[in-house]
Amino acid sequence: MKLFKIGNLFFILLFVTLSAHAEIVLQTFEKQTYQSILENENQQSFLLVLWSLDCPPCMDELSMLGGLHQQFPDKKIILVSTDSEAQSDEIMQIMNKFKLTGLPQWVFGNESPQYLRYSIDPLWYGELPRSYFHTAETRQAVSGKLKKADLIRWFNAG
Amino acid sequence: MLSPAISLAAMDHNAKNKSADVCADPSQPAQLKCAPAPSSVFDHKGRLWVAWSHAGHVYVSRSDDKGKTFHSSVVVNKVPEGISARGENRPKIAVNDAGRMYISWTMPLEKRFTGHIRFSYSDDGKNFSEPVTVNDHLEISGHRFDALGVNKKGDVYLAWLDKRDRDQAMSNKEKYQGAAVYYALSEDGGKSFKPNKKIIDHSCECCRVIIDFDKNDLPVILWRNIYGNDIRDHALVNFLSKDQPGEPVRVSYDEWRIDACPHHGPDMSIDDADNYHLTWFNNAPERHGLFYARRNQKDNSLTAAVNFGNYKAGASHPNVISDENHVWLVWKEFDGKQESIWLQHSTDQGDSWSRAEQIAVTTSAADYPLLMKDKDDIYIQWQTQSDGFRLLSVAR
Repeated sequence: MKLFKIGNLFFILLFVTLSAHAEIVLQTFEKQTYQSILENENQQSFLLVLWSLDCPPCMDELSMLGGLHQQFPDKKIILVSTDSEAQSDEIMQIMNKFKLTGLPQWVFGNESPQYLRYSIDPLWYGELPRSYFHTAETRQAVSGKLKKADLIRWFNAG
Repeated sequence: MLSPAISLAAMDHNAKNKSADVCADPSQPAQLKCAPAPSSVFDHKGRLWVAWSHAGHVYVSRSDDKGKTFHSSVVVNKVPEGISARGENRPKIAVNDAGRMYISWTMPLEKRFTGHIRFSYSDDGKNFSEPVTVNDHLEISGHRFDALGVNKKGDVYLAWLDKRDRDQAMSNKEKYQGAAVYYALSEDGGKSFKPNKKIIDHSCECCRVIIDFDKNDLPVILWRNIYGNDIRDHALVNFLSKDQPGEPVRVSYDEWRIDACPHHGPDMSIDDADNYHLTWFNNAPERHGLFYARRNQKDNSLTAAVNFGNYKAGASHPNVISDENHVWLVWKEFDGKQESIWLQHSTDQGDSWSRAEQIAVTTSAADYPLLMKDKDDIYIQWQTQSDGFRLLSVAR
């Protein structure tokens, strides 16, 4: 009986682990990706957040976004890691940790990071976190950690 | 027009074989041309030494013909370990006049944003000492972004960004902005280090640290600091004596307010007259782009910081070197299709500057350009994915 329970627990854990990972589809961000995102969003409001594994303030921001994503599950957030595909496992761990699974996830591909940054914004110098608030007509760039109150206001407005 | 003054010799020892394909093949042996972020230095005999990393090892390669060809690479750390080598992080190398070579790097640990400062030395460039950890706080904490400096007397200084005090504050549920700057001194050529000492709390936590030496052969350390809650401007410290740092002073006033990782550290070169030539990047709404300023030996005053490079073309990662009255600045730009490196030259200690001149381009990923000196000659190191290690000669 005890063995059975442990076995059940094992399968439940396995399922949770698998299902958590299964939700994450880490796509490769290439030169055309940003334009594709704009086309796909079709003038809807969304928040694009760029982050990396070697950016301590990014972790604070992702933690906050995880909480807000639970609170505003319908609001569109797109996450882009500027790390490499070789770091996909670490990226997925972070997404799981901050409950950001289920959001569109991208990681910089093999092209020069400079090209990829430029494809989003020629005037972005690589500082992280970097966020873009998109509406049908506007795009606002923000460098540095976002403020929770600003995000809530944005989500409520959109 | 600067061009008559510049003789550009792209001495690319591996020019014919484009590196990208070879480097993507894991079965290939370690090769300098595939290294992500090398460092190099000339010794007093004019031989070029390059420190670089691959798959957990730091390697050293020697060239006797200014980077055209290299001898077989030598492994520094026989036991593989993590080595930070990307952008602001890279293995460092220094050589003194007696030929002793010093190597440092940051070894990342399993927990994110942690690491140890590692160090090794060699008297022949072939046999390296067992690497040691220089940070004497051995908890799993942030000891990263090492800077290495060796003066004429052979004193070895390592400075780095350190989170031991941050960790302590956090465990007491206190706030702590950024990291601290710590250093360690070796007076016996790297055989042992004196206890670590703190220079300042609240430095920015992800930008390179720079060491150079003043006319008294004492270190001067430059880093990006945090002022107030979130202003990321730069500070430097002079040493009052060998192992006694003075009060840090602020040297940039751009007021870039940002709670982020700029990943964009400053650079400094101290000239023979003890003027400090400083360069940095900031991105405040009012004051942004690349800056140069000189700290005058006479009264420690700062010249007004001047902008250079094309901000709209992503001018970034500046590097500076000085020699007598000459000062050179080099940096990167990107026009949407190719990365380029640019050079500006001053013959009057930075009072006036030539027009910016494009030096080299690549359509592949590229490292920062780094200036170095071989006696009276100036060179730029530029590692690119397409062409590997390049050494570009700059005439006066």
